[in-house]
Amino acid sequence: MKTNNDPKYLPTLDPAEKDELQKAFKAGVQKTVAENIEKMKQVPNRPKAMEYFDQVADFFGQREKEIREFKAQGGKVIGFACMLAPVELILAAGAIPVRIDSGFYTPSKIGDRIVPVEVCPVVRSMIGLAMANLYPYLEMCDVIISPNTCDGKTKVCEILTDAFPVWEMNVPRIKDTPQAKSYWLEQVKEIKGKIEKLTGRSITGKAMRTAIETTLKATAASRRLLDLRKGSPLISGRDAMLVDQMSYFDDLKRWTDKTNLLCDELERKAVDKSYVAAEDTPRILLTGSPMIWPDCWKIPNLIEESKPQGLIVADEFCSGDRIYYDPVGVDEGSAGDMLKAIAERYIMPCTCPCFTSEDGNQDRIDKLLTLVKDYKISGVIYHVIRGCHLYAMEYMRLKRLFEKEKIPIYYLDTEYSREDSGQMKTRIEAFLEMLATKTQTDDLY
Amino acid sequence: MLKITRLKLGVQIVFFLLIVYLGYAGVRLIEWKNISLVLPTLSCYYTNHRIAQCFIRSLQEGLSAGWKVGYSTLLVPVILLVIFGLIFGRAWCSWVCPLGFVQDLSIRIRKLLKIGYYNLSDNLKQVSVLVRWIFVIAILFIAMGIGIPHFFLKEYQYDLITPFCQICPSKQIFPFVEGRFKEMFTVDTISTLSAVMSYLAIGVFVFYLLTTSFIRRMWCRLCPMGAILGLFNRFSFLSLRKEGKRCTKCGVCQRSCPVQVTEVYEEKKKEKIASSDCTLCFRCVEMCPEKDALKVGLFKFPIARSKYKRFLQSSAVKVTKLQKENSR
Repeated sequence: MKTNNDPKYLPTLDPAEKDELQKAFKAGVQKTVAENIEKMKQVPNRPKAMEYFDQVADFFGQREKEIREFKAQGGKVIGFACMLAPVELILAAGAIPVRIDSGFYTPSKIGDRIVPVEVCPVVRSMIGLAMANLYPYLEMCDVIISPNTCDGKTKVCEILTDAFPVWEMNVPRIKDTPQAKSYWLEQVKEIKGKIEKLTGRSITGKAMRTAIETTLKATAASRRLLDLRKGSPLISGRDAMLVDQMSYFDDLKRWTDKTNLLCDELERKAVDKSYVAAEDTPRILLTGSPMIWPDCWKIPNLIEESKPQGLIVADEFCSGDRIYYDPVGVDEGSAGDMLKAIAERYIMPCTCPCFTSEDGNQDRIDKLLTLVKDYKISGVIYHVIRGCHLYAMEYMRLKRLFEKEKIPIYYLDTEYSREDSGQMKTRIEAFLEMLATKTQTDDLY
Repeated sequence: MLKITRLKLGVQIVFFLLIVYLGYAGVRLIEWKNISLVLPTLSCYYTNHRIAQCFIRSLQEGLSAGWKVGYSTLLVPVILLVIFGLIFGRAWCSWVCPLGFVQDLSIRIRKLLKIGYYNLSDNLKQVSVLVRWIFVIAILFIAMGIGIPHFFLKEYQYDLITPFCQICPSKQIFPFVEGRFKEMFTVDTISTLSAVMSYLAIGVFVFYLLTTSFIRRMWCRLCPMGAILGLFNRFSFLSLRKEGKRCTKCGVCQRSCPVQVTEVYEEKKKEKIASSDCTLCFRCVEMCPEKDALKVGLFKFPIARSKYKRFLQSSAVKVTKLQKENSR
């Protein structure tokens, strides 16, 4: 699958070492996945519909087989490194979209051989995966679409060109000018042409319409789940995050159906009042750098297992609720209008801190404040993985604003490794204790 | 849930039938003690039996009759304009105006054929605003000029009587709608000036035909009636309201606005979106995917709100068989 003979970054590994790494990786991942799921199963009244997502969460399961079969029949798999890649176009061409953000710890140590440890672990981990051919979903990609959003993603895809063909998309950093919009539309059109060439299928208006309908349904299901989290605790935050993230590589239609089934069950649970936590559990909003399954589950596990307990009711992650939140708004049904709608959906409502403007990333602040209001949030945890500069740099502004609004906000900087678990536990417990006392005293007066 | 667009279509059809065809049912110009009903919308003189007056027509007639006789007749039309304008603002353009309905029909035909449209650039948008005010000023100047004795325009009073109506595209459209095809492109040859006006009218009509489908609501952006009604948008009881904090700035409202209003997208602080371009069609409200971000307001009370369910219903990509109706 090499695109050129002379690798720019990635060294060729000894096959024996590669083999060893692959075995160790598979065993390690399966262990972590099982551990995490076991922890999530400890939650009382866990919805039964989560079983499906538990299965998908194992990377080496049914879905891997499905995609392999699809590929054997000549189907194409298109990977994308960031949620700004137009999924609708991939679906419309009959290819399988797979998001390749990596949440694995061990590969990040392999990545250390090429990039310094200061670089964000998502990037190091992705490099490690590519170098030793570890991750089945990355390995199966025919091509990778890389929107150049944050610094890490911009460079990692350059490094990945050694192993895969990469189509880069130039993201305008200031998004709401007419120039930026038309520029981005050109990028999307170009990607459309490339996808058509790769799959040999032209993306017609009808195909686009069907694909948009698929994602609109997924969005409806995702929003339904979000709505259910606004009230009493029906589902643990980790479960909801897992559901969101399984859309990374699951079949979108099936994912939508299963999410709807989950919502049906939650609605029944709401009637029965079978909650996953006490009703006065402090409600936590997560924001900042993405938490990616499975190794980045450390923080949510700690939050929901600590004493006093916290309940994650919403997040503002590009790995979470934001994936299928914003719909493609098609005003008129012409092919050009649909393409425009698809293009705008990806940058305009995006709250990624890689965007900037004169008034700052005001959209993100407004979104967070709305979330705090709608989900009756008791406290916000601002998660930053080391090396994620854009999120780290936006913190101070948010902190000021939230303090003015009297919303508790807490900064957590961490890594993929588990070395800091003890420290994290203490810090999270302290924050939750503060929130719990606050809720109690609020009740008193 | 009732789709706003569908409701609007219904209202438009009803008013179209009332304004254009009620005359055939025997209803004549609605009057009370010699005061006729004046609507701030096209109720065209060139229909066979009109039931009401177009405000622009009354304005021209009143002004050109001179201040002694004519100006007093303007009192009632102006009062009616203020009342109608204060209540509904420019909603007249998108919900009542028969010419607006005809434009919507041509847009609908284009949509069915799945052909795209063009947007005016920012410069051309400014030009269109300029043009509609030039129309207003020209109407006032010519009509008042005719009304002044011994002023040079007085000579042309028979050639330039109601100058805007002479070139308005509805002069050709309503005879067409009523099947009087022979009256469509009449050229007045009494004098050179009236011939020029007739050819100008044909020119305007050709422009209308060329743009009607491909630039959404092009005539509304040039109409002097719209310019005058636009002044009331700031105060109108019926209004477009926005909760800026809930806006994700996804830009769907801006894209779906037929007259390219940008305020609805840009505004984050003010609650009332009052653009003089806005025809209050509320397409943005039904296309907004965020709950409660946009609202149709009567005074301060919201009578319709944006929500995801409404969005799914109104989007051009129809979502069939949504597993369970979403509450948003």
